Amino acid sequence: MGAAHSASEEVRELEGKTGFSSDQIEQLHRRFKQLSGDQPTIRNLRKGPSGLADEINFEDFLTIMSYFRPIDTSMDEEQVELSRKEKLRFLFHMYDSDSDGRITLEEYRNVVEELLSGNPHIEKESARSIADGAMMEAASVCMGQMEPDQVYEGITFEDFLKIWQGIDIETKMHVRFLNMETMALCH
Amino acid sequence: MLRAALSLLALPLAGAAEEPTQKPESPGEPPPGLELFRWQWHEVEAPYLVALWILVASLAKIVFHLSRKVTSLVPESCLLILLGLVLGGIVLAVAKKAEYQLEPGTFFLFLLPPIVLDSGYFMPSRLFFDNLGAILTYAVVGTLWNAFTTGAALWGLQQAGLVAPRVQAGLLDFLLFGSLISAVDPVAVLAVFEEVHVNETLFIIVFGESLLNDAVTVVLYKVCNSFVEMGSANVQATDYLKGVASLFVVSLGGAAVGLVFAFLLALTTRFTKRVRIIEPLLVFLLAYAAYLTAEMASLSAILAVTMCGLGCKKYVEANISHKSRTTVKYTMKTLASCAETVIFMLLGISAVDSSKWAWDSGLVLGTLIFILFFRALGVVLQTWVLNQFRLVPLDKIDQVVMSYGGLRGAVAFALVILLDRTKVPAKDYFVATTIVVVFFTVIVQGLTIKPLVKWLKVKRSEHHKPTLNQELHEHTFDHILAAVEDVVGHHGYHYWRDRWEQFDKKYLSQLLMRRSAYRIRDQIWDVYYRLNIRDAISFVDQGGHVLSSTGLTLPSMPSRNSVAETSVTNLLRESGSGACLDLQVIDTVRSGRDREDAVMHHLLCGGLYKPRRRYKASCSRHFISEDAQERQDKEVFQQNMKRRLESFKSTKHNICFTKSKPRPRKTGRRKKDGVANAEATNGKPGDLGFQDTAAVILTVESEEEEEESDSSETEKEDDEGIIFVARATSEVLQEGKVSGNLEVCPSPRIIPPSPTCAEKELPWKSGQGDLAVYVSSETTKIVPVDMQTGWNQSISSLESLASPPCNQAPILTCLPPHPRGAEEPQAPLHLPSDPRPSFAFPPSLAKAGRSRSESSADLPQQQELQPLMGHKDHIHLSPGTATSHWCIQFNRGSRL
Repeated sequence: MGAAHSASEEVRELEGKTGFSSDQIEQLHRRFKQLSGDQPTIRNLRKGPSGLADEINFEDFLTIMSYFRPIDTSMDEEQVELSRKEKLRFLFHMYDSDSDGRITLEEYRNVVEELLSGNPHIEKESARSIADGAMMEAASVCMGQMEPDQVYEGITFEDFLKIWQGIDIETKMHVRFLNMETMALCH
Repeated sequence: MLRAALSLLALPLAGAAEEPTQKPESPGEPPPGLELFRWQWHEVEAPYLVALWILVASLAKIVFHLSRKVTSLVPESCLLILLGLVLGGIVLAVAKKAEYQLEPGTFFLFLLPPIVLDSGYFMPSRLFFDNLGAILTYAVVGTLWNAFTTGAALWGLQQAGLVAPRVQAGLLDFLLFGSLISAVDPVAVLAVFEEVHVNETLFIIVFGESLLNDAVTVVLYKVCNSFVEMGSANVQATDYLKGVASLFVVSLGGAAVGLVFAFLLALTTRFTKRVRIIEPLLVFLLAYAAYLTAEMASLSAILAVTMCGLGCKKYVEANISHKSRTTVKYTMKTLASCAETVIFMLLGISAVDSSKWAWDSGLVLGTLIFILFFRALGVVLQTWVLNQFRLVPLDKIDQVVMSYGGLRGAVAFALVILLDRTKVPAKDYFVATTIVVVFFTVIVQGLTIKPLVKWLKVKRSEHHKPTLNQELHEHTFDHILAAVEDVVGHHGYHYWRDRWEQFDKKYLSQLLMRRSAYRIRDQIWDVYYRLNIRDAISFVDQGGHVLSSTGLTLPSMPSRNSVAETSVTNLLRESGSGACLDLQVIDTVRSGRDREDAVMHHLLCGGLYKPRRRYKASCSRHFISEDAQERQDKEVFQQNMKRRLESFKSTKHNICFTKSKPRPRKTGRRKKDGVANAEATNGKPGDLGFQDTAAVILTVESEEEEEESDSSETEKEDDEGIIFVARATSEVLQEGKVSGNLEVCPSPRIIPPSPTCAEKELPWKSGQGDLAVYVSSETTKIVPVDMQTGWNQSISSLESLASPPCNQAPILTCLPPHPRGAEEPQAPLHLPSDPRPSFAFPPSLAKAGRSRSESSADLPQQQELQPLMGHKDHIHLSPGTATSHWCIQFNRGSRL
């Protein structure tokens, strides 16, 4: 990669930002170029509502991918906690489609419907009731015994953290960037 | 107690031991005429003894578990081995020779399969495949490593002169011994690890290894055995190659046999709809057939059964009925635990037989040290390699537990017994060593592993309840990860898993699941369903008493709900909002005494069970019909449920869905029914203002169950329909329909008809009070999802109970000339004014009108809410679409 030489400064910067190694960055860059057709940006990733970027450059791409980096074993507790939180924030934004800091029922339902869309026999109706059930559960987890008159409007990020408490995301939100070429047999 | 049991049991055993000597005589004697009493021990001897042994083992188990202290300290397997030793000693003392042994044939053909099937069938498959790489590495490489290093080291030991020269064994013999002693034993691992509760990853790795290494053990054992028999001089290079090849043949062949049988099993259960009763049997038979087939072809039988259980579970569980599932589960667990108990006990007994073994301290000590050392070394080395690839590395503590958890067990013992003494002259020494090794690992390591785990602070498995959110998130996760892998262009584990799931969904599931099951098959659904069931059960488990206690406070202090509702409706009315359907709103402010009466009535009504149905007595061998008791329980259960939920809803999760639940169903048949008319008019002989009120009766037909309803099984409900009495002015017939609909549960086949307000509040008014608490017995016959939807619906219908602002109109319309003359004037007062405002509230009408299946719960609550949150609703209330605004509202026991 000819550009890599001149851009080594840039690569180093990206390294610092995202925590990828330069090898990985290079590989990802290759992939990025492949995806974008040698353009500097990938366009039209989603035809989402306004407010969402409809094109991303390589740095954005890297940043997104960096959320899926495995947690370093050398990190101390605090860093692990931090990275966990970041991962969760990323996830949270995936649910929170209008990015108002709240996963509303509507948004949750959309997610569930999408999840179940693979099975054509499950009606939307059931997806809804599942989402409703999940929301109810979330409400009871997050608010505990709610005050009367309280209205649970949606899952905030704090609630989201609470819901994820029992699940160790560290072991799950991982994609293997390391040894991307050499497909590893074992997980 | 134990002593008593033992001495009792020792008697028949002693008898059994003596019996064979008399055997020749008995056939010879002609029977002297008709015998009054004949002692036929021989005819029943074999099964009798088997049954007795199992009984002894089970009794021993009971005794062990009498003391919690003992079992928490000592693993059951240790206790059983010790018991076996004691029993063996007794038998030996009585019979003067060792009688009962762990016969390899019995062990491999009868005792092992249930355990392996159980573990394969209930193996957490996701976890297993997530860690498949590690498991395979440990199982294959680890076992090979252990076998060769242990064998070679022992040979070295012999060469060094530390083993007595009596032990005549060459390198091949030691390798053979190494191969059988090196395999971690699934039975022992399960027995110990189940009590230790280490984290699931660790467990699945050790346990998976113990299952999968069977193939390696079998191959190694067979290869070495044949080499020994051939004599080392005759072994040629091709034989080694054959040995390596046979490893693949045996393991892959075993797995293939298992998968083929899994496929057959799943396919068979697809067609058992009409013969539910044999479903569990099929599971066992085909799994056993897989085991025997693999054994016959000298493939790895353990692998076959494991794969069979692992592969078929998803489809079988979807196909077979709920009861069959429970049966399979319990039978499997019972068999496995039974087999395990017997194995350990027999191990203990077999050890007593001193004629079979010969002691050599050097060999025994050497073996013990070597297997511990090489296991640890192997684990460390392999983990180091694996950690290069694993995203979540196994840390040091995990490695310690893994090496320490390498327990040897009955498989090794059975294999060593199988050795041929003429070919392997050192067999007796090997037997002794194996026994010591097995005892050491099971007893010493089994005893100490728990404290060790505690001391090392190994991450334990957390038993948090599965939550719906978690399940949802994990699913999202899988998709995200697969997507990201795709984006990155690295087709890794997630990618292939995703592909496999697609394939499974598209072809396999369609082929192997019956259509009804396939349609509704989804993991998220399953979790949802299970959670609902769990909730329901826990409600009931907490006892219907909770309710009654709240119920008892009611008479003096009117129910929160009703107060809240009246107040809300009052509020609405007073604020002059047009948002009220008259039917719902006409409020009766009854005196406290009336309310108390009502409450008391409900209490009694709910608390007393009234058998209302007579069932056809039917008996068939092929269909289990629920007996009356069961039905009663069910009804009581449903009642309890209802009440529990009622209180639960109002106290804790007072969540109302403002959304509607459109659910396709047959539109309720609407008809003016003479009966209902009669009822209405009966109620009101005087007939006040009946000209502008017409009783609209809605009878809702049970929706046909599309599937699973065997007409032979389903009893016809005699009271299916719900008869509604709703008042409607003639001009608003449509509205009448709507409001009628409100009262109707969306799918009556499942839900108990929610009682109309009339029935609820003033039950003595309704002649058909029965309806209110009637729950269709069909509920329980329905396949999971039906139950599930039913459950949802009943929740929502219960919401209506929790907040019954429901139409009080019926009350008024069918008010008899009864003590409450005082109230009657009120009704007409409101009558004229109300119908019009109801039209001023088009959104809910439109909605309700369009989605006729609106659950009864939703609208009343909407009505409460909408005035309060009108602005929000306007956004959503495009006609025809159900509003999906979410809001959780907590009714305060209002003081208004």
